[in-house]
Amino acid sequence: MNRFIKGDTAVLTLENGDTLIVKQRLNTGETRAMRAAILDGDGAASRADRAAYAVVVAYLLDWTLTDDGRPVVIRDQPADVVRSVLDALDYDSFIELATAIGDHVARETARRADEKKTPATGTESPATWPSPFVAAGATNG
Amino acid sequence: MPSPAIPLRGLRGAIRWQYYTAAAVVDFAVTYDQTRRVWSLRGGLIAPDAYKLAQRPLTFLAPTKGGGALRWPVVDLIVRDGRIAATLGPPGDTPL
Repeated sequence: MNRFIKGDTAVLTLENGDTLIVKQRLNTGETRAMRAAILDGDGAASRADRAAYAVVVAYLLDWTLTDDGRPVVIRDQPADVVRSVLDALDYDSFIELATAIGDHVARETARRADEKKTPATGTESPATWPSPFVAAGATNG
Repeated sequence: MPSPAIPLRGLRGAIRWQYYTAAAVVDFAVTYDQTRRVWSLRGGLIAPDAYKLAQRPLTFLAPTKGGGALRWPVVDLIVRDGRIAATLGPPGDTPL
């Protein structure tokens, strides 16, 4: 399955025979632009759209996605290159990515919250940690 | 299409892939090497889209005063430091 939109068109015929040439499908960039135009500019849905995109851009390092069988390289690419690739995806694929990364972020957040709830024990107590000044042989005052 | 010894210059053109604009090309010059029979494009790039520039086929469009555009197929291209250097195919026979 190719997850990238290739700019195919469709011809629509009106009743009087006039024709329209339209995009077969929108890519992620076009879908996001369309949704931004439809949705309230600063409403919850609009903010959720922007947040999902920002989270994907922030977290994504690499992937195995291919385009017509060729690897699509994003590792170590500048952010604008990664954005151009993300925008070329079909929107369903973008949502799939965003959901997977969002779930990962939620799991990590929950894990850190659990760690904070767990009390420190035994000799690892921060209260016994030596002062860097003492360790360096200096005095405090 | 004539073979201009003088470069064809323009303020703003575009590299297209399908119906997408892969990049705007500004302050461009298109030249024709009559010996090698090769068209070349040089210019600055604005808003280049890396994914779309990697697709094929690409077309270079230079708008004309009458509202139309001259079109060349892009044979290969190099993008560096915000500029493009491309080899073009024969003009005019590439549909939008």
